[in-house]
Amino acid sequence: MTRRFDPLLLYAVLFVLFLYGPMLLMPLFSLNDGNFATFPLKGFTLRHYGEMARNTSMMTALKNSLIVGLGVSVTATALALPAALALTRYRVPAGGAILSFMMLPLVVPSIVLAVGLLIVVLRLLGLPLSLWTVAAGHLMLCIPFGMTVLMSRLEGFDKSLEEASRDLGAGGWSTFRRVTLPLAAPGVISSLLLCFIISFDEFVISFFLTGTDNTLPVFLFSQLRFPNRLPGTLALGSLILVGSAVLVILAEVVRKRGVASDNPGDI
Amino acid sequence: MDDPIIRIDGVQKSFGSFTALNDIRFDIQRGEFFSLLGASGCGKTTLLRILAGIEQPTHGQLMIDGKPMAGVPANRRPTNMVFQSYAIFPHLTVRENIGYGLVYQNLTKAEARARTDEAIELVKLTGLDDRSAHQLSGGQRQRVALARALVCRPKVLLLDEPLSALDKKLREEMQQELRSLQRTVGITFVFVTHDQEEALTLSDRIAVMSGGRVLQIDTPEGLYERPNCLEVAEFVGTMNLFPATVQRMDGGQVIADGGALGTLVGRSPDRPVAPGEAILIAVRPEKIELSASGTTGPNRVAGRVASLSYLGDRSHFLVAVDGLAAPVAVYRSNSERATAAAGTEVWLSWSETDALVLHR
Repeated sequence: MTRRFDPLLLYAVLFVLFLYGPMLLMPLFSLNDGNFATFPLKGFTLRHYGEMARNTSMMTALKNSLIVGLGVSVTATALALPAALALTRYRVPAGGAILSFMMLPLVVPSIVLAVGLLIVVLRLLGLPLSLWTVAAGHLMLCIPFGMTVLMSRLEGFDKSLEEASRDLGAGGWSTFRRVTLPLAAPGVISSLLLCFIISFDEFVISFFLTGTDNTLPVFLFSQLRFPNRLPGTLALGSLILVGSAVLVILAEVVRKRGVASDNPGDI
Repeated sequence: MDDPIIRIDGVQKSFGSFTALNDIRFDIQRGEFFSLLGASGCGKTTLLRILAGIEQPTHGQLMIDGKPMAGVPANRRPTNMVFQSYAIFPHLTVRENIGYGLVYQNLTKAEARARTDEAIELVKLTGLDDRSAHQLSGGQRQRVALARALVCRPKVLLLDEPLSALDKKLREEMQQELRSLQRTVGITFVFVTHDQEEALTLSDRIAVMSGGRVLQIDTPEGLYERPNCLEVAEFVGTMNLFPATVQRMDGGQVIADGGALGTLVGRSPDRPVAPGEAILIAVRPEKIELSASGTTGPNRVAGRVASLSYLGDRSHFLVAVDGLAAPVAVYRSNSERATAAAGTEVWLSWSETDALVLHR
């Protein structure tokens, strides 16, 4: 008895290769003992990782990106949560219009957004370009993403839970702290992770609004002119790849757990 | 002494242009098991939510325990609610759910624990303290919701169709438990339901609602035996209706002309009728006698058995009568052994004291 060849299996293998192949080349070349990212491979080395760690301007850019990413994700989530609560929990006059307006940065091309922000910052506000202006731009981009995640979470649970809390004696703040926030927590964590990744990865707005302090994507772009520095970039890229994978898996685990605890046994 | 626990005085509620409640006014007495009965959309849940303080009335006054409730939010009212969805907090255990409201009652930790223990025992959830909501069955979640409300020792317990999500057997069990629980704790229960049988079984008094109005407030027996209008008569139990025209009044009786049905005599209603007025003579199915032969006279109608269903202890007959659109329902106990096969000619008769006069 022979197993029949399944053409769908070939499709699946090609699909995964196409999706992840290019990404896997990065860690491969980062461990290759050579200065150029070409085949044939020459041998195993960790020296590019050492170079990476010694490259202070690269490390500064990484640090800048982490600071901006953390700040933006916390601020965007903190701003999106009350807005998402208002739009899902209360009858807000013109709520639909407000929501569409808040979602605009999702559909406006970021190059347009970037040019617009540059004009606002330089001409209207007269502020110097810095990490602050980069963060402000990222914040604008991240709030709609945070809103989307939080609203879908808040719409997912029964409004009578909050009514029950009020009925049992809890005031508005107490209800938020004891019922709304714990139930929204998976959404809050998703929003934090999503906003961080968006900010960390953002290039166009950063490129326009950055001053002397580079964020990582802008720094990496500037390094492309020097081919001998590429392996160090690959080493950093590999580390970020691993880091993001861990974050995404973590987010998924948290989300799954949240879903499980909300479906109190369908009878 | 007139000291009602709840006084609803002219309460009206509008959502935009839709009037959900219209000039509701009645009292609920201390310790009563009071039901709000009506089809969905009749305003009963809205009224309950106004009592709880979750919704505010557009107009009108509400007093609970002698205090006006205008501007008093849900968390400061002496009421607690069992929600239709139970609204068990999914992130908390059974014990944490039940103890949720005690935080706001200025109790010591030991007192709160004792009260929670007592409530867990009262609703027979002992040993399930550390379960979370999704590990509970429907009946258990209902008990948690009940304990969580009762543990706060409300003056009034509000129940929003708490049994509608349970299967028939469990629902009947819980009905018995609810009734005995209410007697044990002695708290006023206000119970919303669309199930007339449930309301009749459980309640001391029932308010029948329709289209945002209260049609009748009475004891279960009063509602069944003396409905004050056609809508109540048809909503509570089954009612046979014979159209007729008033001829004259004689003492406590109304003598009416039923056309092809002959003379129909009924008990005078509270609201007077005038000669010539079009009325309905209403008779419950179990009040109608079936006989194979008979003489003509008042409240005697000839018909033919269209169908019969054997239900063990009783049989249900549907009797087609000339001049009536709907067949007449007749319930007879099988202890009488008075059967009539489908297709046979029969005489229907009833006492004038069992015939109600309803306005058309």
